[in-house]
Amino acid sequence: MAKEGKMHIVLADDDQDDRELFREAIEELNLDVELTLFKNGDELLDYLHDPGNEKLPHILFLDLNMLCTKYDDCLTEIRRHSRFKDLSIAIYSSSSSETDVHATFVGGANIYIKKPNDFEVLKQSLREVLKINWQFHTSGLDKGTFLFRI
Amino acid sequence: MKKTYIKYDINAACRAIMQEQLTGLGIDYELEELGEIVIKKKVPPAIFMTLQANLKRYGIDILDDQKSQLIQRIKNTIIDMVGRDKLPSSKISHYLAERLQMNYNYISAVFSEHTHTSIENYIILQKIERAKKLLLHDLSLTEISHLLSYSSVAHLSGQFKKMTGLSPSAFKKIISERKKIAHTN
Repeated sequence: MAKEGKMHIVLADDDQDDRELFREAIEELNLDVELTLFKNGDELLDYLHDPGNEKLPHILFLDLNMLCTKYDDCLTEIRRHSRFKDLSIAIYSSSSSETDVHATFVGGANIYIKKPNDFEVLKQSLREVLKINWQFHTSGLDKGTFLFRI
Repeated sequence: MKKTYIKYDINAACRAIMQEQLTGLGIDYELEELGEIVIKKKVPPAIFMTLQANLKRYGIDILDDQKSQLIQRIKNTIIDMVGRDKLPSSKISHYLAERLQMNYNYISAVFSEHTHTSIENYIILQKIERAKKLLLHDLSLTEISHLLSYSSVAHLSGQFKKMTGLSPSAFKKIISERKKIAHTN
């Protein structure tokens, strides 16, 4: 994969166990990635809004019920800025309620992943998501209609 | 405030930009099909860098290494094929081999090695991207399945679901609700 470059992934999740599992799953996929983790929405938004940070990640995984004190809702806050218009946002959630799935897609999420209980399933889901997201990135496909649920 | 819509031909837009930029820098060139350019005389490095920087603003990249050039040619050929009103009737592997004048096994291996996907999946991806656009233009699933050479509506819906995790109608509903929100804000 060296030819098309390294994939930069960000996860923001306030559950430490979930962060560890995510890191392990990503490592075991053996892809050329750089992973950055945040413990809450405030840390994430400080990072995204940092003017010194010009390169946006290729994909942002966002825990739906994560703490965020400065804003009501991370997804809405990120999508409010045109600079983040093409940033792929994957909701990473323990909920599989149809209402949550629909509302987050309408609110601007590109991907919805129900956190699986099984580690192998998690790896497989992440592989699928990263692969399809990479195609959108490298082929300049329309992020405005990029929706993927797994 | 009034909102209007534009229709555009990405290929024509790209050619116009390339002509403008290349002529502007005094480069002797010929534009060929599918993103290929023949540069006839050697271009001084400083001018080449200006060209690269100018094109970058339009989201156009010059590819210099051979494998990335080949991958881009494969992608462009697939996009061109999927964008036509009727998909080729011959086997797609034969069609690509013929258009690219290369052995299909080689093309397929290079593609898989460098893109995180396969040619087969890339074609499905591009077809579903076109299906999304047609859906949003209110074409029916029957019409779309004809245009994209699906044997049935069920086959189209199945691939749509595989590539998005959503049914075509759920997809359409989400996008139209997003638009409504954008309008009210």
